[in-house]
Amino acid sequence: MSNIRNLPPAPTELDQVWGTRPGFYAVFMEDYNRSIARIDAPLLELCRLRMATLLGSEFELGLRYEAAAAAGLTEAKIDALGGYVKSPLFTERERQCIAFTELFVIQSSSIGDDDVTRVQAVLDAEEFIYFVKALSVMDQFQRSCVAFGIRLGSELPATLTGFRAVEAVAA
Amino acid sequence: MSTTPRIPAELAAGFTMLGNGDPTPAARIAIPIELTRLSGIPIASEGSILLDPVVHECIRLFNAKYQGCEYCMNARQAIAVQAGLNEDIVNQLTRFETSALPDKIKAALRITSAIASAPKMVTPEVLDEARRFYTEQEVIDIVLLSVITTGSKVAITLGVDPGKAASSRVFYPTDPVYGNSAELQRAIDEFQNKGFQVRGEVIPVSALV
Repeated sequence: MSNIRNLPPAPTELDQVWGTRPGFYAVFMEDYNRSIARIDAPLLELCRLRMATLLGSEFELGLRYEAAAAAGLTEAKIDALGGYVKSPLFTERERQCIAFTELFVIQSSSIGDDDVTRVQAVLDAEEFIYFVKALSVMDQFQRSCVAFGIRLGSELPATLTGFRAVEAVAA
Repeated sequence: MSTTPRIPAELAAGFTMLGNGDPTPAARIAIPIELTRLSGIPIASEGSILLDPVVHECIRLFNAKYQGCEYCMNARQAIAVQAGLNEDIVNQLTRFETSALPDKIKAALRITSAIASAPKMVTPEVLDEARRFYTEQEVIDIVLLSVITTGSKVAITLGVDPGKAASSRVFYPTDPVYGNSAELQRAIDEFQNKGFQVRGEVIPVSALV
């Protein structure tokens, strides 16, 4: 464990830290998993990984959302994420949502009506509501993992349903 | 509402800051009320984050101001006020580093501020400084609370922040907005037994100055 000391044993570092508040951990992760499941999986995955790059979350960058891969998201496209603005691999919908994710991470209170209008051109109102909620729970979770210095180990936390490690994808 | 809704009125109408079980999209995405309780809001209760009430409220209000949530930044928790939170403290939160706030509060806010801006700035040194005043569990609780109180980003982004007019007062732990779980009720009884006022007349924030 990078940053937290004297933790009780648990299957993973995430469980060790968040598990000190088991009720909070359980309810948060339920809300997290429920919230991300409402979003188109490849779109969510691109936004999650872009967020992870901005926040410096090695933990998140080492994970892949299985539903996204099952829906056709490739590692080649993930590798091209840094150039999403101009890369032909990305649709306009993806570009707008990734750009909005960046604003949300950097300073959500600075998001202007024009920024919202651009993303609402590619998401309907209900999708937009669920998209913002998904960004929020991912943002919270990633910030905590970076702050705690949580690392991925050989075992994945059981609370992160639907994810697998990058090595498992590459194997 | 203090901000202009960025979602259709029929969807914005279902929005609540805390989940109330309504089936509308906006209500579905509200913060689960049990998660709020487990965050130690409005008071510490069974299994919740457990921090000194003034420190807890400082963290919450710092994030409210940082995120720009009018509703959150204009609410005051009654127990924190009775435990010593005052508007002089609140007014120093944003510029805490150069303020006259106690080092203990600064150490917590250093973590909160880093998490809000760039969580990589929660360095071992920042945590060691916090360890001068807090146990390891309290350090974990500070991080978790700092994270969860960024949840107002949703309301602000959607333009459905209920606004200053919906808060601007002291919130007692018996306020209906917090629900009536058995755990919360037991905590309320405990605080009452310790001599805290858990219900009362409306006290506007302006009267706290």
